[in-house]
Parts: sequence; C-alpha cells; structure tokens
Amino acid sequence: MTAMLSEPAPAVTPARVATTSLALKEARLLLGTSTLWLGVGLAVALCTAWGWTTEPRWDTFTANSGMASLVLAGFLVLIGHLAASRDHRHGATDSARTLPASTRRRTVALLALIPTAAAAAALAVGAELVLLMPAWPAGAFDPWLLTAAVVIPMVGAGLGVAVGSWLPSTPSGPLTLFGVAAVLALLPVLGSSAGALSWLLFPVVIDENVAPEIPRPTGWHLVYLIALLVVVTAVAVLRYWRLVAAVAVVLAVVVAVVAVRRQQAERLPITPDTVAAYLDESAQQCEVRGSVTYCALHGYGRWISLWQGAVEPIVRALPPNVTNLPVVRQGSGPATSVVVDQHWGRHGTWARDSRLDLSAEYIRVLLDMPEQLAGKPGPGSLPERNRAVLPKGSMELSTGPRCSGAGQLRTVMALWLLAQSDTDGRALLGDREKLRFGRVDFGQAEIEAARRLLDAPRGRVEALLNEKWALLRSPAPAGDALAAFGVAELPVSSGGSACQ
Amino acid sequence: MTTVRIQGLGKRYGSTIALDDLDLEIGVGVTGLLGPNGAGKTTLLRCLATALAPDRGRVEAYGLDPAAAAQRTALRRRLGYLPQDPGLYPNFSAAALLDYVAVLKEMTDARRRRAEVRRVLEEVGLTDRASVKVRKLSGGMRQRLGLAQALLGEPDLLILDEPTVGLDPEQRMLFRALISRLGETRTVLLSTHQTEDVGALCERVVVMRQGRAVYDGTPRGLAEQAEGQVWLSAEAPDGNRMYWRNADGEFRTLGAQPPNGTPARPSIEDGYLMLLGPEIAAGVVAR
Repeated sequence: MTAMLSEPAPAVTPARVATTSLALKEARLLLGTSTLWLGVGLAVALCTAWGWTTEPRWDTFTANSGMASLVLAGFLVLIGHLAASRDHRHGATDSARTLPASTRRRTVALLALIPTAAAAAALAVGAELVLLMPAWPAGAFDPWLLTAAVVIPMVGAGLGVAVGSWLPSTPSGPLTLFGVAAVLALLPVLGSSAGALSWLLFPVVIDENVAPEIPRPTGWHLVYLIALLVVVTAVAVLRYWRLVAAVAVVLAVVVAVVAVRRQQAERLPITPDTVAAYLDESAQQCEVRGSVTYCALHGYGRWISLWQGAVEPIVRALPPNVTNLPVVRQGSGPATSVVVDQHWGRHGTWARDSRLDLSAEYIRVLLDMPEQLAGKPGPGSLPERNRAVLPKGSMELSTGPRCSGAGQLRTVMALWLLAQSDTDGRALLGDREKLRFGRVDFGQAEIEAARRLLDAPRGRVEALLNEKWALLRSPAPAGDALAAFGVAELPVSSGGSACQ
Repeated sequence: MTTVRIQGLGKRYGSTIALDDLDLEIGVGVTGLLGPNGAGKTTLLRCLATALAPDRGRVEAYGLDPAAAAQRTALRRRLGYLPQDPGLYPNFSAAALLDYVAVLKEMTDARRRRAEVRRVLEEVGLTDRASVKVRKLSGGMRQRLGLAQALLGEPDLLILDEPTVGLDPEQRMLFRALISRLGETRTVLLSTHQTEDVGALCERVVVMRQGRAVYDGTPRGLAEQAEGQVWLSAEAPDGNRMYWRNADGEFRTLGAQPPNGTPARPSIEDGYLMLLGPEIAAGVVAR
C-alpha cells in the first residue's frame, strides 16, 4: 500500500455566507423568470380591469388586488415547484448531489423565493395603484388588507417550494395548483355570508365595507395568512429540522385557528340597526359647494366633486329664490336629503350613468316625487340604501307600486331638468332607460313636452320655473301652463294610480 | 503518490453485483476505466463522486472518507464530476448555468465567479455560446458544458463518465489536450468505451468486468495482453475465432493463427478484447 496524499483542504466558505449567496442567486433567478413577470402583468391587468368601471375605494381595491394576488400566487406555486424540483426534472440529481451545497442548504436558499415573491407582489400592488391615477381610492385605508395582497403570493411561493421539496415529480406542481384552486372555489359554496367560516378561510377579504369606519377584524385575517405562510415554510424544511419545523407547524395551525375565531367573534353583525350609527349624519363630513351641501363619509371627500358634477347643472337652472335645496348625503339621512351610496361609475358610460342616476334622484327629491322604496317613512332615510346593508337573503330592497306622473307639470319639468345635466339633453330624452324618477311612470307625451321646452330659449323655461315653482313640487296637472311652448294640454291619469 | 484509495468496495442492485470487493489505488494523472456495459464503471465513479454510498468497503480521497458527512462535504469541495447524463437545465444560458453551479460550489465572490465561468467556458471552447440557452446547444456542446461545470473551481479530483460521447474529432482533440494538461497536477479518472482515448490520454488503465478490476496497468501493457495473438490475413479465417475486416480489406484475427496469417502489432483494443475473455470473443464471432 502506498502513502495517501492528504493535501491541506482549501479555505472553506462559512456556511452562512454560502447559503446567503445561494439564496441571492435563487432570488435573482426568480426575478429573471419571465413566468413571474407574466403573473405580475396578469395580476395588474386583472385588478385594473375589475376596478375599471367604478371609482376606486379602498375596500374594493384591496379585494381586487387580493384576488389578483391570488392569481400571482398561482404562478408562484408553479415557479416555486419548478425551482425546488429543478434537479429531478432534468436528471441533474447525480451531479447536484456531488456539489458542496447540501439539499438542506438548497432548500433553505429556495426560501428566498418568499421575500422575492413579496417584492414582486408589492410591485404589482404599486402598479395597480399607479394605474388608478389620477383617481385614488376613497374610504378607509386598511393597511392589513393591503398587506394581505403581498402575503398571499408569499404563501404561493412557499407552497410551491414545499411541494417541490417533497414531491418533485413534474405533475405535482400543476396538480397542487389545481387542488388549491378547487378548494378555494369550494369555500364560497360552503358558506356565502360574509361571516361564514368558509369565507374567513378564503385568503382574500372580498366582502364590501358597509361603512368606512365600521371596525373590521382584518388584522386577524393577516395573522391567519402569516400563519399559513409559516406552515408552508415549515413543511418545506421539515426534512431537515424535523422537531423545530413540526413545532412551528403545530403552533402556526393553532394561531390560524385562533385568528379565524377572533375574526368571527369581532366581526360586527351587519344589520340596519348595527350599522346605522356608521352611516348617519354623525359619520358624515359636510361641505357646502355653491348653494348645495354635500356630506361624505370618512375618506370620500374627493367624491363631492363627482356629485357636484351631477347636481350643479340642475341647481343652475333653478330660480335664484329657491332655498332649502336637498342635501346630498352619503350613507343615510333625513327624508329631505338625497342619499348616495359608496358606488360611483368611472370612465365613459359608467360615469355618465352614475351622474344621471344622482341627477334624477336629486330632481325627484327636489320636486317631491315618490321614491322607489315601499313602506318606508321617507326618501333617503335608510341605511339599507347602502347595498351592503341589505337584510340577509334579500338581493335588493322592495319597491313600491308604480304611480303615474302623466300630465303633471313636475314630470315635464323633471325631464327638462334632467336634460340639463347631460351634454346632449335631447338625445338623453330619447333614451327611456335613463329617464327614471322613483316610482313615477310617464309617457311619450311628457317626453315630447320636455323636448319642446328644450327647443325654447332657456331663459323662458327658467322664467316658467320661477313662476310655477310652488306648483312644481306638487302632483298638479300641467293644464295650459305649457301652452306658450306649443304643448297642448297633456292627458292626466285618472283614478288612484296618479302619483301624489 | 496515491490520492484515491478504494478498499473492498461492494455494491449490489438487487441481485445484480455492480462492484465486487474492488481494491484500487489511484494517483495524480489520468486513469482510464474500460469495461463492457454493466462492468461497474459508472457505479465506481458514482461512489467516488459521493453520489452513491457503497454497500461495503471504503473509499478515501485526499485523506477524506465520504462515509463521514463532514468529510464528504469536504471531499465534494475538491471534486469535479461529469456524470453520463450531466442533467443541464435547458432554460439556463450556458453562462448562467455555470454561474449557478459555481454558487453551489461555494464561490461566493461574484467577480471571482464570473472570471471562473469565463475561464472554463474558454477551456471547453464555448465562450461564443455563453449566452445561448442550453436547450439550443448541440449534443457535443452540452457535453462540453458538462465538462465545464466539472472544471469549475479547479478541482483536485476530476471524475468523468464517458466524457467524449458526442464529441466530433476536433472537439475530442481539444478535450484530450485539456485533460492531459489537467492530469499533470490533478487526479483525473475517466471511464470510456473509446480505447483511442485511453491510448492518447491515460498513463494508466483499469479494465473492469463484473465489478472487478481484471487489468490495472499501462495502456501499452494492456495492448501486450494480445501479444502474439493478433493476425492479418487476406482471407476470412474459419473456426471459432474473433476477426473483422479492416480498412485495408485485410482480416484482423484475434486468437489462434489463421491459415496464411501474418502477425500484427496488437492495439489497446486487441488487448482489451483478449482480456475480456471468451464470452466477448464469442459475441463478436456470433455477429
């Protein structure tokens, strides 16, 4: 036997330095993956599309952003799985096994995908916010919900690494994604109310915020998501630190259960009575613009300009001596106010529809026309008008019986006023779908009469308004009041069906 | 001086014996492993490369015993391994793949790593393909890339399993030049079916059969195994002899002298075939 050459070993890189270097490399590899950016792009596009038609609010934005993050998380499940199973897919197991970096170090380094996923998700959320410009979300900003949109892709990346570490075969990644998607799709089926357990297990809080200042246990939801993140991370390293990882899994599951229970306990039951205080005058901040008072809920101050755009053209057409103009209130208010909710259309026809709806409602209250809702004390006084406060099980508030405003002067003037609020009033009068004032029905004769008024000089109509103002706020028939405009006496509805 | 020592190494796959009580000592220089398929060459290389744990026996390289976890990692820091299937990630570019492997080889300094990647790419003649995705490289280029990843970090022990597969003659010449240069200071162990490679590269050759070393010596000594048993003749010999027709149209016969046969100088291949015994000869005759 000959002597064995035993040269001094080369300098050894400290394990922590080597692991950090590998983690940074894995992070860079992820950032260089086109699939990640496809996922980010898709998430941004989806969030933007989902919120395109309405003025942004923090609660809908965080819900849309969260759902978009769920899509990004799906991409990260696949990417994480592919990264963790890289050697097995390409027959590199042998050569990888002979490298100084152990499988433990490689798995730990792959956990760098989790913060990298967070960075990508934060970038996506930032892009989604930038794409809202020049608008900005209204309502109450909830940092926990915004953070959830960042944590969800982290869970996805961690899940991908965990599955790739334990089940490196190629189909495992897509099958995991399919399984998770199926479970998530099932959750809403298992319970549809906002407080149902299945909804609380859903990663994204997608129920609407009834009022900006209503307390929501969203912090607990974030704790639940972080517990999920700990579970998938611990499962990924379970092979190497069995005891610590197992303890972490158990603790995280306990924390997740507690977090869900706390959400159930702290969630305010959403009924008209419980939410009334968050929607009434005490919760509103008022501002006078022109001669109209606008009262917005917390965080909705920017929307006053939008409401003003709907109301101002009507007010400008009113006689100067008209006082006690209805107050525009968001949430709920007394019978003499015009109540708007937390929805407002954005872009093109959606914005126009919201504007016309408010204009029509303002005219209805102004002219004391009967409101849409049945059996309630007065217009605009109900917290249920906020769609999220609808009694459980009902899709919309019941409407009262229709009544006829045929032949009434106020119906014709309401139509003329509504035409003032649109850039092309004549075209608007041709669109029956847009001509709605509460429960009031009317016919082609009233529309034609309004057209005649539109053809006349505006000053003459304003003079008529001034002269007949007292009559306009009553169901009085037009009689010959419009004769000067070439409108013959309009047929009046007979019997009890006439609007009062 | 011995750098690798193998004592009583045994490995079974079910009822198949891959390595049978193998003893071997290897030193600095290029050592070739020859043997038919299933002789145990790859299993031996995998055991040496720490990719496979033997059932019994001991491996020691540079004083390090891979059976002990800490020493195994220390040994991995000093070896470069090119398996039969290098398993290169197809979506990485050549440079990115090497950079990744360099990180796995604990090269943490980015600048040094980049320089090392450039060096090995140049060594294997792939500098102009650095940014090309692995999936777009030809088979020969992939083989060279596999060799490049084994060369990263200038390992003391280089284990190459059929490294010349897929290489064209020019690439093979470059490969030989590279390996012979490395063999001046390092321990290079390569398995091959190409006896020309052994003749051109190896100072020492080990012929394996059924998990055992049946020859361990110089390539010249291997050729001498067929001394006096190689013949050339104008006509095909009859009887139970192993022969083939060469490029000159003559019949080259191994074994007993055929009628009108004139003695020929034995090659490494002749020695290898003679050494492997009657079953291989019978196989050749049967064909």
